[in-house]
Amino acid sequence: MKAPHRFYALALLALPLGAQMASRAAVPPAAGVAAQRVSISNLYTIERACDDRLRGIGEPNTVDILGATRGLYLDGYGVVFTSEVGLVTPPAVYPFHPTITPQEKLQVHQKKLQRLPVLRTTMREILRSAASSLAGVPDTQQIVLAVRLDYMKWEDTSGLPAMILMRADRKSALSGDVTVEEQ
Amino acid sequence: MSAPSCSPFDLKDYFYRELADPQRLQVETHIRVCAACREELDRLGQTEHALFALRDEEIPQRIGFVSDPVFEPSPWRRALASFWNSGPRLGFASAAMLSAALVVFALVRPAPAPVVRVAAAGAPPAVVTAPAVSEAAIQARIDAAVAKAVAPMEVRHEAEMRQVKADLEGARQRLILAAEEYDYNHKKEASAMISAGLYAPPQHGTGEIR
Repeated sequence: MKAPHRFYALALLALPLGAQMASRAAVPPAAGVAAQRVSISNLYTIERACDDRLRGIGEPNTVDILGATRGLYLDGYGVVFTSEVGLVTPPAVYPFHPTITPQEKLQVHQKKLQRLPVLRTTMREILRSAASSLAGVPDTQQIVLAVRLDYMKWEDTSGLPAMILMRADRKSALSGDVTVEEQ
Repeated sequence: MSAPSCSPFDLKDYFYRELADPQRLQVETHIRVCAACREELDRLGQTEHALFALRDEEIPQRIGFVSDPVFEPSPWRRALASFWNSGPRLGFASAAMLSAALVVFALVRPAPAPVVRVAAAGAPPAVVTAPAVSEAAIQARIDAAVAKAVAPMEVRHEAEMRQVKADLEGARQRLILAAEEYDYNHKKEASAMISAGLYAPPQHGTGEIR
C-alpha cells in the first residue's frame, strides 16, 4: 500500500472516534450533576414541610389541605411544587343544619380575605426554605410554588384568587425576591 | 122579696142621697143598730155596682122589617142566582169554557219534536225521535259542566305540583350541598393521609434521579 493510501485509511478509522469525543464534549456537565443532587426523598421532605406550613396559616385545624403538596424537578428548568388548600373549613351540612345561611357565607368570605395576606407571606417563606434545601439546583434555575385555592359553589369569591403562583431563580428565592402571579 | 124595712125613712132615698141631713142622721143611727137594714143597704150597693159594670148601649132608633129594601139581595147576587138555577145557561157556559180551553192549548202548546228516519241495512226502518237540541249543544253543555267541575281540582292540583316542585328543588339543593361537602372531605382525608406519611417514596436504592 502506498503512503497516501495509508493516510486516508487512518483518517477514515479516526473519524468515528472523533465524533464520539465531540458528542461527549457537547453534554453540559453542570446539569447532569444538578439532576443527580435532587433526590425524590429530598423533594418528599420539602413537600411535607410545605403542607405543615400551609396548615399552620390560621388557627389549628381551620385550614384544610385538599391536595397534598407535590414537587418535581424539570431538567434544565428547576423545581415546581403544587398544592391545593381551603383557607377556611366550611360549615358542615347535616339534617339539623340543611343549608348554609347568608351569615355563615359572609363569615367564611371575611375569614378567607383575612387569611389571604398570611398565605402570601407563608408561600414566600416556603419558597425561601425550599431554595435553601435544594442546594443541588443551580442558582439560575427556577423554584416555583403554585397554590390552588378551592371554594364551595355557594361561596362568595369576590376578592379571592383561584391560584397564587410564586417563582424565582434559586438565588433570588433565597433573597426573597420572587415573582407573584394571581389568577 | 125582702121584708118591710124598719128604718124610719126609705133606705133607697138614703142610698141615693135624696134625704135631708137630719133625716140622714136618723137613718145612719138606725143602721148602726139594725142588722137587717144594714144588709139591705149592702145589697143596694152591690146592685148599683153591678149596673155600673155593664156596657152602655145605644137605644135603637127604629125597628126594621123584612119587607124593607135594605134586606133585598144585590143585583149581582140576583143575576148569579138566576144563572145558577138555569140548566140551559149552565150548559152553554160549560161548552164555551171547553171551546176556549181548546183554542188556548192550540195556540200555546210547544212545537212537536222532529222525526228522523234511520235506515239500517237489513233492518226495517225505525223511527227515532231526535232530541230537541243538537248534539253539538249537548256536547257544549257537557264540556262546560265538566270544565266547571274540574276547574277547582285543576287549581288544587297545580298548587300541589308547585309544592312538590319546590320540595324537590329543596331536596336537590341539599343533595348538591351534601355531595360537595363529601367531595371536600374526601380530598381533605386523602391529603391528610399523604401528609401523615402513609405514602412515601420507595426506600430501595438512593432515590436519586438519573
